[in-house]
This record gives sequence, C-alpha cells and structure tokens, in this order.
Amino acid sequence: MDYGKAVLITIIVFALGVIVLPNTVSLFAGEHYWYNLSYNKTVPCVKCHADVYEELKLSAHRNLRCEDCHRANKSITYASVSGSYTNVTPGKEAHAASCVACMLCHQINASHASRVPGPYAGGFNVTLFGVTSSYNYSNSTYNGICEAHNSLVAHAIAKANNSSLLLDSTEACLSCHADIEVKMNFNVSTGMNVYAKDVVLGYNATTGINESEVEITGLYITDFKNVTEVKLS
Amino acid sequence: MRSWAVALILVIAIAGLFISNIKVVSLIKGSHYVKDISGNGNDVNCSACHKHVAEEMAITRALHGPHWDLTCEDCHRYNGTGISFATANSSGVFPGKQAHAAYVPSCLDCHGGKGAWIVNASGVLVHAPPARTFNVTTTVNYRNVTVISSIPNATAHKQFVAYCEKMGDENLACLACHTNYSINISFSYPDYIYVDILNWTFTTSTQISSTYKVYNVSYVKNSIFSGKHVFLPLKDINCSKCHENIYLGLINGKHAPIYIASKWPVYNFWGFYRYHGLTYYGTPLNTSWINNTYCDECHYCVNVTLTNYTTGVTYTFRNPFTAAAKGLVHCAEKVSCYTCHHRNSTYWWLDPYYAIVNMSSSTVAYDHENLINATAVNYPRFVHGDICMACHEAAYHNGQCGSECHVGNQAVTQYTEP
Repeated sequence: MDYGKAVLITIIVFALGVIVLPNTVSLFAGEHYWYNLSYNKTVPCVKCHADVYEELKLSAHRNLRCEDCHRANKSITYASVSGSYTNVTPGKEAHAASCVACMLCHQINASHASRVPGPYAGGFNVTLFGVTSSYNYSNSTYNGICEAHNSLVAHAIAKANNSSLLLDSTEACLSCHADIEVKMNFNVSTGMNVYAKDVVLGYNATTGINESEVEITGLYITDFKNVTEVKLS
Repeated sequence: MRSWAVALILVIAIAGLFISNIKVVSLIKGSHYVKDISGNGNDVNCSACHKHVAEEMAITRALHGPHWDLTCEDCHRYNGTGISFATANSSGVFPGKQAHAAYVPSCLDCHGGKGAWIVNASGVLVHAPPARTFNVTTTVNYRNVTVISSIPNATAHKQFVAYCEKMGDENLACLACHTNYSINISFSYPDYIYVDILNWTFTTSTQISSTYKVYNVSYVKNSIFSGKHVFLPLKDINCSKCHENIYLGLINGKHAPIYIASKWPVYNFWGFYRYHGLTYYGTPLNTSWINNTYCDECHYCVNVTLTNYTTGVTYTFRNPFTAAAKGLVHCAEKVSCYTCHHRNSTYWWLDPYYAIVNMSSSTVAYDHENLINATAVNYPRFVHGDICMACHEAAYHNGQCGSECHVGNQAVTQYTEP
C-alpha cells in the first residue's frame, strides 16, 4: 500500500467518524448535564433549530426570542419553572412550544391573546369568503373589504382548518412577508363574450328622431387560462 | 496527488451534507426570514408572485402605452380613494383599514371626475386624464355604493359601460378596448326592413323584421397572461376589430357611401373633395383607408377637414354643435345619416343638397324629404342608414333612378346592414 492510499483511507475513516460520532457520543457525553430551567430559563432552541436561528438573525423579527412567538399563546399553558424547581407548572396544551399563527400577535387587540402582541396587520376580511377564524381579522373600522388578497388569506385559513399545515392564514402571510418559495396556479380569464342587440327606444323630442340603441343582453367572462407563477426564495 | 483530490472532494461532500442537514429541520425553508418592511417604499416585491403581470407591463412599456411609467403601487395602492392600506415606514406601523397590501382598482378611480394626479415611477407628477363621458359614473358598486351613471345618450358605448357597471365591474368595458383582453361579440340586428312606397311616403305596412340575424366577431388578442395589463396606445385601438361587420359593410358599400358614383364629381357642390367618399365605384379600394380616422369622420366629428379640389388648399371647419365637440362623446358618437343630412342639421353648410332633400321652397310633396323625415321620426335610428343606403349602396345612385323604387308604388325589402 502506497502512502497516498493510506492517507485516503485515513481521511475516509475520519469523515465517516464525523458523521457517526456525534450521534454516538451524544448517547453518553452530556446526557447527565441537565439544563437549569429555574426562574424561567429556557432550553436553547437553537440546539435543534439552528436553521431557524440563522434565518431569524436576518429577519425583521430578529429582536424577538423564540419563546416570544412559540410560547406566546395566552390560552396555552406551557411547562415552566417560575421559581426554583419547587415551583413547576406542568404543560397542559403544550409542553415546550406551540405552533403559532401570525395573527396571534398581529390580530386586532392581540394583547388579549398574545403575551407579545405585535402591530395589527389590518385590512383583511375573510368573512366575505365565508371563512371563520379564531383570530380577529376585521371590525367596522378595519373592514378590509377592498383587499385584493382576501381570497388567498381566506383559502389559507380554510385549508389550515382541515390539515396539519401552518396555522390559520400563516402560509398566506409567509408567501409575501417571508423569504420562502411559493408556487401559485392562477386561473385567469383572458376574454369575454358579449351579446349585443339592436332595440328600439322610440321617438325622442330632443334629438327629433326615433331612437334606438345597441342593448347588451349578456356578458360573460370566458377563456380561462392556467398560469403558474413561482416566487423563488 | 489524485488521492488528495479525492480526499478533498470527500471532505467537501461531507461538509455539504452537514450544512444541508441543517435546513431540513424547518418546515418551510425561509419561513423565519421575515422581511423588513420598515423602509419608506414598498419592501414587498409584487413581481415576485405576479411575474406574468410584470411581463405584461413590460410589453406596455415597450409599446409606450398608457400606464407604461407607473408602478404597481401607483394603481393598486392608489391613495385617492380613501382606502387606507397597511403601511410600515420610519414614521411607524399603520394597520390597513379597507385593504392590507393592495386593492383591485376601478379604472375610474383615477380616470373618473377630473382625473387624478399620480407620482409615477420616476417620481414625476403625471395626470391621469378623465375618461370623457364615462367619468360621470360616481363609483363602482363592489364597495356597496350605489352606481349612478349619467353617460350621455350620444355616447356610442354607453350601454356597454352601463351593463358592466350593473355587473359590478365597469373595468370590463375599459379592458375590452384599452388592453389586450380578448373579446367575442355577437351582434343581433333585424334581418330586413319592408317598405311600401306610395308616392314617396312610407305606408303603414312598413315594418322591421322580427327575425334577427347574428354576426359574430372574435377578437383574440395575443397575451402572455390575461392581457389586462397590456395597455394599448390609443393609436392601436382599432374600431374595425370589434366592429368587423361594419368594416365589411363599408367595403361592400353598404354602411356609408364610401364609393363615389362615376357620374358624380369627386368633389362636391362647394368645390371640396367629397367628405366620406374614398374612391370611385369600380375602382380598387385600399382597405387601409378604412381606419379609425375614417370612422371618426362621422363618429367623432369635432373638426371637418376638406380640400378644395382646384386650389389644393385644405380647410378645417369646427362644428361646435356635434356631441363630440361638446364633450358628450367618449370615442364615438351615435349617428345616422340624418344627423348630418337634414334641413336643420348643424352640418348644413357641408351639405348643399340637404342630402337630396328639397329645400323648404320645394313644392313637391312627394319627394325624398318625406322619405327622410318619415324615416327619422317613425323608424329607429338603426334603420336610417339602411333606407338611405337602399339607394346609395355601392354608389348605385348614379343618375339611373329607374330602380325598383321608381317604377311606381312599390313594396321594397331592404336587408339591413351594420
């Protein structure tokens, strides 16, 4: 065996070790080093969610902590240690963290529901589409009746209500406000059919002639075309 | 050396594996990278999701059509409607009221009333002109506001716009002409008029056919998306595309006297070239002559330009009495032959013969005047031209008046044309 092959085999063994060893070592090293959660200390989420951490660092939410969103729901009792280990609150609806809908913090009067309310988004109305949400999207002042994306938001809610995907309208929010890839299929009308017919109106003293006009008897949106849009992240 | 290279690749691959493994933890990659929208402009890129719309707007810019210099926000976050959009800037965060990100504008939001001033993409204040006569529409009813349309009767497309208003989207009427949005039209009109001529007066048996014929026009415009964002320059809006039946009627000499009878001089009584004549009957017609300019001679007649056939001097007359000149017409005025060619016509100075009508000094009771007047008063506008063209079609009236009308008291069936 020449020198080069020996080096190569060494590197391969080392590389495989890099993959295997962390899992192996973690079984032993540190498993008895318990995090001290007393006085509301938290588990370092970043340990498992480094990707989220990296995104968050560049995000408009960069000043928020993980728990500001994921332990923010006032209707959920999370497991916590408020004082020493003798003052423990077991988790009820959630232990460590809950999935969160954007509207938890960005709905009207979010302070009723969120421990860290953000600015109200406003300008949406999902009831126009017959959709109900547990979050407050609109009221008489912020009625959102002109918003172009109401349909997107409403359908995101409807879909989320029947699936395990992101809560409420979160996917719709993210599609614009986050750097995610979005694929949309638009079914758009490209034309119309118009039906016109000559009709008699009768003598008009102002014009001095017997008037007629071309009456529109029907107008239909037609020629729908499927177009796919892809927003790249 | 080769071994080192393989080793290096292997190490890089493993490192890549580590890095890529980090990403799979997140349910949707990028979902925690929330964009900072605190800048003073729009920090959300509309084109990222609406690329095809952006491509259509690029075509508009290439055509230099209307709106070529506007941004998405200029129209879809227009601030002249009272709609409050969600805004975040250095002044703070302001929730949206009636809309969050964007709304679907009504064309008349900017082109209603006296128009609107808008800051375009270059930061220049530009004026959106009022859509003449259609700008009297108060508002659209999708905002639950009652639509009150006062479009003048003289406006040819009044019914089209009014119908779209009732549908809740008068934009459709605008799109049909001003964009690449396609349109199919079925025109229905009575098959014929039946005339008993008795001493040059219509008898009571004159009637309009109760059976209708249909002419279908299909105007498919090229587009990469819906066509709604390709705004056409005014010069590219072609009347003949939607009114193909009229275009063919002109070519066949049945809509207006486009042909001049061989026995008639090309010029008229006053020494001017004939107004709506294009060529002698029997001579080739260049169909490109039938264009918007030709249509406007009758349907948007603010000025009349004539050329003296002997001197070659061109004269332009302005007739302030036309509905078009009064600003009562958007792009076309409802007219018939009678509009210009009757005794009290404001065009009397153009028509020394009063359209074959004898002057008031006439003592002949049974002349064409009876026909014209009886037609105007008793029969609807859309058959006026048919009655006139019964004689004038293809310049038949070349001095040979021995047609079926002149044989005696006759029953005449005249098939209607656009």
